[in-house]
Amino acid sequence: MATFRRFDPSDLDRISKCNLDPLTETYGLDFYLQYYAKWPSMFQVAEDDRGNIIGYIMGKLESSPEYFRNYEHYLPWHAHITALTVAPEARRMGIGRILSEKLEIAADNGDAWFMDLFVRKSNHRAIRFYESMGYSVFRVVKDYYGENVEDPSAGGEDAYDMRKPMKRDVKHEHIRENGREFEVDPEDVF
Amino acid sequence: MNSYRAHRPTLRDDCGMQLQRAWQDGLWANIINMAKSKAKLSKDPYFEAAWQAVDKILDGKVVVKDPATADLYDWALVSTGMTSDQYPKYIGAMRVNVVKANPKAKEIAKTSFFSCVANADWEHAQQIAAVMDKSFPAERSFHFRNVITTYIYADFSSEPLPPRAIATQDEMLLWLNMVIKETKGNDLVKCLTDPNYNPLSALKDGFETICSTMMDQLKELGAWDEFYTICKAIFEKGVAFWLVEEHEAKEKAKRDAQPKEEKSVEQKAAELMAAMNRLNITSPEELLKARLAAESIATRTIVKDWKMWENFIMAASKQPKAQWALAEVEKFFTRITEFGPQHAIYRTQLDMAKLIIVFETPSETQEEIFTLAARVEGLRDYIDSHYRDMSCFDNLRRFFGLLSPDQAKNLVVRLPRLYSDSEESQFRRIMLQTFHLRLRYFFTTSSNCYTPSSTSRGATCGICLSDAVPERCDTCLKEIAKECIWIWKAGLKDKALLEQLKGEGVSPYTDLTIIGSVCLLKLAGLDGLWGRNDNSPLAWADRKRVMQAILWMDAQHHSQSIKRQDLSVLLVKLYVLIGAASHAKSIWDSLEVKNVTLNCLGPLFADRLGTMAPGLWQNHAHNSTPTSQYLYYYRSAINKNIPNSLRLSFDHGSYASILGNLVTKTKHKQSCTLVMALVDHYRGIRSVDGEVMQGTWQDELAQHIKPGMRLYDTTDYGPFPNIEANPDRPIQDFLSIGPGLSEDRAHLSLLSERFLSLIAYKEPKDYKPGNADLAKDRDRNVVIPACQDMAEWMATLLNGADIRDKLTLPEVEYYTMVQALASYVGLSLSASKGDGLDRLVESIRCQLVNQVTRLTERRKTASEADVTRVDVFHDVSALHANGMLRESVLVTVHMIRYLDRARGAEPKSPMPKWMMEHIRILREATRTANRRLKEYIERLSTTVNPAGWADRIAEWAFGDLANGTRAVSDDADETYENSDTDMLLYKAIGPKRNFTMAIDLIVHSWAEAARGWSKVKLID
Repeated sequence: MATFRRFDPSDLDRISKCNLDPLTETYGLDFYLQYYAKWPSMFQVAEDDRGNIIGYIMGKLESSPEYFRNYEHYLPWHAHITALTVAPEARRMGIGRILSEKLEIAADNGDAWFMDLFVRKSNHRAIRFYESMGYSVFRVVKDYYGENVEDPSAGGEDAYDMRKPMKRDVKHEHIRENGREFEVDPEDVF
Repeated sequence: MNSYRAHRPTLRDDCGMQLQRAWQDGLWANIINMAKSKAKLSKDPYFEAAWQAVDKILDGKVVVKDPATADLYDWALVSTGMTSDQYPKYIGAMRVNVVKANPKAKEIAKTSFFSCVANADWEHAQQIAAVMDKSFPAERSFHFRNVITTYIYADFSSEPLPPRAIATQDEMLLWLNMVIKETKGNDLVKCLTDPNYNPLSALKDGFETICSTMMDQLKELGAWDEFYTICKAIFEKGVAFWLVEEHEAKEKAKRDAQPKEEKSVEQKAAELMAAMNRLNITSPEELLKARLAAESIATRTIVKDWKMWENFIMAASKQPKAQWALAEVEKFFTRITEFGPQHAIYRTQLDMAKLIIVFETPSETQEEIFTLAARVEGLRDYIDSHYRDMSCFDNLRRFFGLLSPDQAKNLVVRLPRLYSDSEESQFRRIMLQTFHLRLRYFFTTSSNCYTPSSTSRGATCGICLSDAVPERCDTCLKEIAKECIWIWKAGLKDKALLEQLKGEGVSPYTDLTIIGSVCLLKLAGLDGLWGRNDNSPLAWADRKRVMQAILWMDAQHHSQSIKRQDLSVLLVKLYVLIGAASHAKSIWDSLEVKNVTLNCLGPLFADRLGTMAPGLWQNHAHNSTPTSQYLYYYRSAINKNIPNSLRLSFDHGSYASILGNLVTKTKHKQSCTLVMALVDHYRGIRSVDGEVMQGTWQDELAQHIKPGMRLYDTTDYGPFPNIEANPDRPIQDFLSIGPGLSEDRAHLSLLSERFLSLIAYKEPKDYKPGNADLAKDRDRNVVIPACQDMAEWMATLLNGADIRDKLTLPEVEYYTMVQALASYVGLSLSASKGDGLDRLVESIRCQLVNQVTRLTERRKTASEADVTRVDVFHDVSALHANGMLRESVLVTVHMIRYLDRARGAEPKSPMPKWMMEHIRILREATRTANRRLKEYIERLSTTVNPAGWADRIAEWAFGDLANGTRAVSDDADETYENSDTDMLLYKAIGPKRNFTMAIDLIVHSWAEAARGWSKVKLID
């Protein structure tokens, strides 16, 4: 069973169910604490009956720096999903969706125009998951990831920058239908 | 702190070009010369050496107003080892003066404030915050910095808190934390249920976290009536909000919702009207108003949360009309589940809630038999519906423990009916079969399933009715192991099923391996007592069963398509247990435990490694030991990451995060894992260097830990399979070299390190005291009370009632010996006669002799024919014990050397004869121990290296099957009844399945261990 709440640093001592999974990266303490300090409502966890963290989502609210305002890739005030992970034993229960929904609530509270995230082009399962949640590809970031999991000889792997409009974007001005046709370089991405 | 400690401070403009350049380039010799001459000319303290200058300022009560001076001294003093105790006096007060002198300079105030925060000087941080608050009344952030620092400072100094206004959720959380901290019992209940602000008011503000925290507190306080009343109101409102929301998003609700009974139009309209009345609104559109929208979201979210459900049931069960209240609660849950996205977890949640209600419903209101039947029936139905969930068993554990032997047997007998039908799919069959075996194992380990009997074993197993020792029925363990192997072996051939399991993300064959192997380990005699009376838990274990279990787990580990971390962690523990540390390390490395997970997971592998695997410390000069990354992690976390996060929390007004950061800092600085890493790090280095170059006690990470200080064990045992019924005897307890981390062990190890540092300390070569005798007296004046103090603390810890549950036997002996050594040093240096000290010397000698005896005694007890086999297993599983013996010798030798230095070369007062005699006794004991250790190391090298080991291990595990004296049966003739565990397992993982690879890796790892030990330096 799972209960959902804000992250607390002591949770880092109980994230093994998520972080021993090879698909979940483990970062330095500064990485997690930065989100805890800056955007505490956007760092949510799912906890099981034994106190294990069986899923978590880390997000942030930001925009491109002001001096980028006239730049074509300027990003207005938006929310970003930095990490979303669910322990293997807790998958297929809807925990990832609930965590994402909670982040969307926080994004709306923070008056974000949209929520975005990056996902490997080869991660079809994740792409399907986000599409079912209302996300769509906004643009393709060429060679965003250093390693290509499907072709190790390739220089890198493309990322999809996926977006979902938040309540503020009533006219859906920040998403596009044909996002897969728009390619940008990693340096264009804030 | 945005720039604090990140860079060197900027020098004042009047420093001149040359000095500025030298400063930028870090040319320290030039800087010192130039500063000296400038100080001489200008008499400006800015150019003086920092410590000297600050001392002058303090002595002369000079008020520094120049921020650059404060920055420079802060930087210089902190860089040259100023402790947190010294900060307030030397820098904190100066920072306050600078801010007071420049009250309108925001950046100066910020830098000064964060400097105090980073150095935990809350007194001066609060004073600066108060100045900032006053100087910038319009800035909310300064106002709250004042509030939080006042709170923190007050918390430390137990002074009353000032009242403050609150607006955001984070500010409210801070307030709530203060209230919870300052108010107790009924007063807190009153506060949390205050008509002006209570959990419902929090939801009105859209503060779900506040509401949840308040409800948690009511639960903690046992205020169940209040909890029930408020929770009912929340759920009533939740239903109303969901109804209105559903109306607003009718189409979406239809698309998402499962098919359900349609209600008439009139009924729906009536429900909607009632819901709007409940919410005091006249139209659904009113929900769009921001405040109401926030309340709606928060309420709808909280009524779906499992913790709220669980506590609501608990509160209902404590009501006078519990049965009625529980029925009401169930209705709420059923209703709530109909709304919103139909995630699988909500269906599981509802079924689980119904099951809890069955168990919580008071039995006196029902027929007893009906209650019992309902319980078993409820469990069976839940398993039938949720067997696909990997967490199904864990969800039900709480109920299994409540069943009587009859109910347990009833469930075990009835469960196979769920999958015995030939029409059932292979997938459902294997999942339920595995569940069944796991359940049977659980009951085998549950004391509830045994009834006392007058037989020799003392109990009767409730499942198979055999005579048994409680929590350990050998008949059941054998049957479960055999059935697991039978099903596992058959499953290897079903490729289609394996593919389906992979697609479903489940791995029942891993579960079967774990349950079956653990049965074999228990049958081998591993019982969780950590070899309390011997070198290792394996000392008296049946090696055949142990090796079978390991080889089976290894085979599954390599064949599994879905990597299961619980199996990997078990293998790591088992390989460490049999002395194959380098092989364990290669599996451990594949788990990528690093950074933040070191604190909680590191001990699962690294604990006691410094004593058993010296080979892993060969490259310590290049910071490449198993513990180097731990020390790097803690240094960064404590000195950099957490102070930075504190600064960010202040900047972003995340007040609850400030408190969380402080707790994190304390838990890192006082972490048992940190102590483990430090002690093992230096033990490992000592094993290869022999000498004590730099010890644990000199490390800045250890210096602040005082005896008696609270230490935190945050080890996460979550990665281990949770299959045992008794929570006090989890699986890791009987697969480890010894007990896990504990405060007492951490303190004992640090005190021992401190003693070693003290007696092994040598003055620098260029230190030539004018009066050598006086210098020795001074040294003794420090050493004697320090040793007496340490001996006292260690005695208290070693006399603790449960200390033997926290240490291995070699550790008990080592710490007892160090305690005696510390006592001896403390007493002997001030004693004129040695009479009372003979007993101490004898006890030290005995501890050494005991350790040496156990190192060799097994060779004498083993039969001649069996000697090689027994010895090697004995030797490789006793690495930790020998590591502790090496440490025992080392500390004794250093004490002898210290006594030589302290009392040896003094013409006026030569070493007394009784002390010389004591030293002779101890020297003889250490030399004997070293001789035995050398023999042990040589034996290890010669016995594990020769060829033919693979065959020998195979023979250990499978006896006559491996050496060919027993024929391997044909699969075609095999039935469950006519086969035995050895045969089934040998055929499943034997040579045809390439189990020689696992054996080769074990032998290779033993050879590496022997190589590492051959480089150990023993000092005489």
